[in-house]
Amino acid sequence: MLGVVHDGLRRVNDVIAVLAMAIAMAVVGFAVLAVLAGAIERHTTGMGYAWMHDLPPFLMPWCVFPLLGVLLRQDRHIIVEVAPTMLKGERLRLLRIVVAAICLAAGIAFCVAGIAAVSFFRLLGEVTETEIEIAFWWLYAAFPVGFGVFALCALELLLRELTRKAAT
Amino acid sequence: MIWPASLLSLLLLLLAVPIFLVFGIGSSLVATAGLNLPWSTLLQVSFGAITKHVLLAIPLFIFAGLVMLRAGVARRLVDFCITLVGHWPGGLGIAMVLAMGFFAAFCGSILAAITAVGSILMPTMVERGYPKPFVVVLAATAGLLEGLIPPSNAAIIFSALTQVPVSKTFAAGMLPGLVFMALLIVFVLWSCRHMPRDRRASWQERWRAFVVAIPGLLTPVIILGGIYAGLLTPSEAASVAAAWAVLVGFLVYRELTWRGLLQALQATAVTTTVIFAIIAMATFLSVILTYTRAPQGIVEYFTAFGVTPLTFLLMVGVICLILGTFLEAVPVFYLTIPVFYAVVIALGIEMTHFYIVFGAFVGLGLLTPPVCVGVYTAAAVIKEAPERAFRAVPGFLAVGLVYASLMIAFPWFATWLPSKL
Repeated sequence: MLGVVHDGLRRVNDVIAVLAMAIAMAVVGFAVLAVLAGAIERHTTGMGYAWMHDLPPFLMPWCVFPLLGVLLRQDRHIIVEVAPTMLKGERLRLLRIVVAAICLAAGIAFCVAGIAAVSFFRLLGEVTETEIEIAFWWLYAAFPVGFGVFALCALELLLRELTRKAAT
Repeated sequence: MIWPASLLSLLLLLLAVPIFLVFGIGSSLVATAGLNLPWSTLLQVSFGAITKHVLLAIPLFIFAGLVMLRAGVARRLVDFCITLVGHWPGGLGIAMVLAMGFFAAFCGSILAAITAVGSILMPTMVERGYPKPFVVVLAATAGLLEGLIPPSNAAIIFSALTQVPVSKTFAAGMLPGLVFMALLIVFVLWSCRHMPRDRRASWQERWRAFVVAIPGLLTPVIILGGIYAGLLTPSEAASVAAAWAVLVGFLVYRELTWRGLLQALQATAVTTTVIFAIIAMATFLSVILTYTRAPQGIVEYFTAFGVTPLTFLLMVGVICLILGTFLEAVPVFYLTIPVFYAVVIALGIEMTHFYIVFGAFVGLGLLTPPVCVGVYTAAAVIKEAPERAFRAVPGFLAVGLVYASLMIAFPWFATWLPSKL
């Protein structure tokens, strides 16, 4: 049963991972082009469009947060690798289960807290002071979305470790 | 609430929970449960930190470096360095130090430099009989030049935390970078004095290698020239460097492919996320420090005990060395600088001097196991077991300590160039 849920979740997370990576790459690519265009614009015409200057940093949260879960799946986050190098076999698997459970709990907690905070900012209706006005809640929404994805990926890792035991 | 949260954070750290999450869990517990702060405040401060314009330079410089790597720039730089010093004792090792120094001047990422230069030079060095542990730790140590020679991510992060202009922190790293390079070269010369030497390249070969390497050698001129001539901001300089790298890759060397460009974008997104996730969550900690007025308390403590700048810098060294042994550079920056910053100002220490001393010890911490991602990366390049490479660490650590002592004793190295700006 757990194996079926794990397989299904893995497929869902595969799709999310592709989407999150595409968004992140687009944000980085846009940042390079916009900042370059802003510099060229300023030196050639003496003018500068504020969105070229301000938009790239505002988009960074949409590069960072959605990828948190993807990097968790790929084991790419920075960790202190003392325990994983000391433990072997079943103890290492137990450690992975604990870490995945902690990540899942934290992901859910941060996602819920993020949704509440974003709702608050949506009620306030504040916008950025850039040429193109962007509602702040739209930027902050990267936080609950990112931690939602993070929780899903943590759940996948947890199920993977649990089904691994069932298999052995 | 602070002590239980600190203990919980320590436990999570030891359990190998991702560091960004350790920061997030511990700090948000204290902020929301201990200080009754709303999540909206934490979110606001966190987003304020990661949307700082100065930090945008980090992904842009990483992208520039990764494109340079795929464009074949690193290989030509290495070839040029080999023609210059290849016939010296330990010539390939010295070429690695020089090439890392050049690569540092257009890429802010230590790991990108180790991969770029290391993957070209390390296998050849092993073939020529250099001991594998020596080669691995040399690459990891020379990679630390990325943190000194501008543009460096460490300088950008330090500026974002302290409001010191990036142009000054970049300039502060220049002379110390050259000193560190010189010390490393002396150490390699001495360590490899009995190694067989390569033949000396002719002046014609040197000229040819120089001409081919010109596009790469021009990149630092574009970046630093643009910044210090007042033409470009650091972020703009990074984007121009990236565009230059793409042009060189597609039109000059013709080694860059669309696939390679996409891979560079992907790797940039990943590295940016790893760094920015820590920044986003570690900023929660700064909220706590502000509300609890902890830095002011620490300043009072230091002034009451009559701590001198020298004693303080030595203490910073010990703390950073210990923290750097267990943590990566970015978390150490965000964990300590908000606290040290007030003390540095109170003791009248020049901020650029503090940056260089601080960076030196954090860098040394990155060489010491168990957390030494540079050594792991370099070891992976030649498929050496990292634990076997660790035995070469003490020699390089000694070089680093000599360098750090020089930086403490002579603030001039860090302050002279920024003072001329």
